[in-house]
Amino acid sequence: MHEFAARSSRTVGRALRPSAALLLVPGLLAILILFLWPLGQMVFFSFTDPSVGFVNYQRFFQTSSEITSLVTTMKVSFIATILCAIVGYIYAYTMTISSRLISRLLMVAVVLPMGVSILVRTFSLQAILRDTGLINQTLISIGLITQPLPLIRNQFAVSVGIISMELPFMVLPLYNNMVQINKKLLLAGEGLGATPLRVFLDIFFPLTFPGLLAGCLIVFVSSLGYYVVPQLLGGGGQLFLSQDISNWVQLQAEFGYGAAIGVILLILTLGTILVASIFINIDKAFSQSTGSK
Amino acid sequence: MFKPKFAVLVAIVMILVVTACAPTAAAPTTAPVATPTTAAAPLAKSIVYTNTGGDWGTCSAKAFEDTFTQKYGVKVIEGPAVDDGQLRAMVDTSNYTEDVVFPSVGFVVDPLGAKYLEPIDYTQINQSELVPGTFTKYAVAQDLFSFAFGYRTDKGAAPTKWEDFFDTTNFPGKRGLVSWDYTTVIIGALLADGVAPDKLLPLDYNRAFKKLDTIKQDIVWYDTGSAGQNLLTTGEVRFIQLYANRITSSRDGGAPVNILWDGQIIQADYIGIPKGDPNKATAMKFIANDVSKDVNGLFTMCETGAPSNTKATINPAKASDFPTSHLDQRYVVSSNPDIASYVAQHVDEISNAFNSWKGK
Repeated sequence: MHEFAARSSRTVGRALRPSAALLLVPGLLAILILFLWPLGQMVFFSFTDPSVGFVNYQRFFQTSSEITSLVTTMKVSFIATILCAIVGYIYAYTMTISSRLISRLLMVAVVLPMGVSILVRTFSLQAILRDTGLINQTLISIGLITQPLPLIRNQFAVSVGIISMELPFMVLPLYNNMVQINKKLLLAGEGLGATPLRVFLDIFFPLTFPGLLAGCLIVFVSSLGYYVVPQLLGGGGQLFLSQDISNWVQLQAEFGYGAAIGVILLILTLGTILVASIFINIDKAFSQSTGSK
Repeated sequence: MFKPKFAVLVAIVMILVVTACAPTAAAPTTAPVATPTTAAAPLAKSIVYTNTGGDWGTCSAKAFEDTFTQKYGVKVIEGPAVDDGQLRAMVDTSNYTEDVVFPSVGFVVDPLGAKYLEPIDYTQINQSELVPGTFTKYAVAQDLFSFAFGYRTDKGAAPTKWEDFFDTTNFPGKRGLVSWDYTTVIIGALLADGVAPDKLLPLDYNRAFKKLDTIKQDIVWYDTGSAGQNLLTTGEVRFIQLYANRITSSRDGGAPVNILWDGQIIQADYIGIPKGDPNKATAMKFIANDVSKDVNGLFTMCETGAPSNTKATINPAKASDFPTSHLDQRYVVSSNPDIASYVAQHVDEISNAFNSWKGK
């Protein structure tokens, strides 16, 4: 997300003076040493360990459980993104139409949890969702159900976890987008006799597309790499790719194979952004939604 | 998000340890270290041994580290857990951060054992005293643990045999199984399906999956001992195949749970030396000390890890909680070299079959 934020200030790239360019050197060096070098090493490993060639990649695509992992990762991330978009849209819309105070409070409520460790937040969700947890115990004690609902250790729980972690990244671009919409356009629509629903569908909603798409892209792409949430809330049956990687690297010490799966995950992520960029102008979506001109 | 941070922390601690030790190591102490033995190679001043703390760690410090330091005058430094990936990285890069580590079963037999572990010097260890199936060419069990049958006592009749774990008619309810240790899960299912403990190889995993299919909708997968214990103590499951010490400690903690030893799957807590370790001679002495009959039983005084040395004196107060006290009932030592080698040779096939079945 931070890379996107940096990219969004469009003026930076245009008129760089030599002295200013030099200021970038330490940062670029840090990226080179701390990020690109290990990444290169990982790609190298994936083609050379245990033997030179495409063996690791062949093995991945010929193993049914790995394909299941790949599909699970994409499917759950996609569902979580859609649900996150629905919740986030309603949330951001509520922020837009409520008073300044309420809107500020809602902003605090969505941003503050980001300061708490994802591990702690996932454990708390466990306490809420499990069979002997808050929701099931309450429902059982008031007699609505007799058997606990299957709320945990399945893909539903993973989706809930992802939504809970990613909601800020959906709400922020959406909210930024919504507050910038010219209210006069909505008034004009009403003035011409449109019902509130029509105004929303024909004017407001299309104008929020950039924020919505930016939010969906951020949420989807970061969900693909989730580890803690599926590890603690998932059923253990269908693994996320990141869990799969950790199994191969930590338990089997197969670095080359783990690296190859890592590369596949990376390609999946970059591929998503690439495909998205065909349909939307990513730079524009991010700059509009994050409010920088 | 958690692991990288932890790794950085470990790296920082390592650097601190190394820099703190460097001046001492470089100090011109030409006089040989006074030891009661007449060892050919001079002993190192200190070795690093995996000890992750907690009650278990305190106990192993008392039993193994202190006795070693007393006997040989070598300081034992406690290091963080080393997984197989880190062990491999250590050997591949010749950057040894620990001298005595706990490799997993797949690493203590060929071919991986030969690549990443020093062979054990059995002239220093009395092999005949060790529990059969708990030592290999590259590692020896420091203690033994087992996966046993834990059950809630407040959710109906108590089970009497391992088969009851799979009997959902008479014993309805959820069952906990360990998510990553497919060897344990598969062997458990085969035992319940009537396979004799000495007839397990070659592992008929398809037969095991068929048996597991009968309880599949009731299975709750857990990944760590604490997560499993949590399932049992909160009553989220009625039955669980879990580390025996986790079950007995839940019971002792007052939870309505009990343990059944029939069909337990015993595993060795293997210790070994990373291949090429500069302190391997000293580390070897440490391992020999760990499994010697005088020292090995000391661990049972404070923990329920069973001794690997059959001549060791065990804690009489906890005698009934040691997996090795129940060898009159059906059991399998799944970390024995035969099963371990078989699984190591078929790891891709079995893990893929297991993961595919789980994901269905």
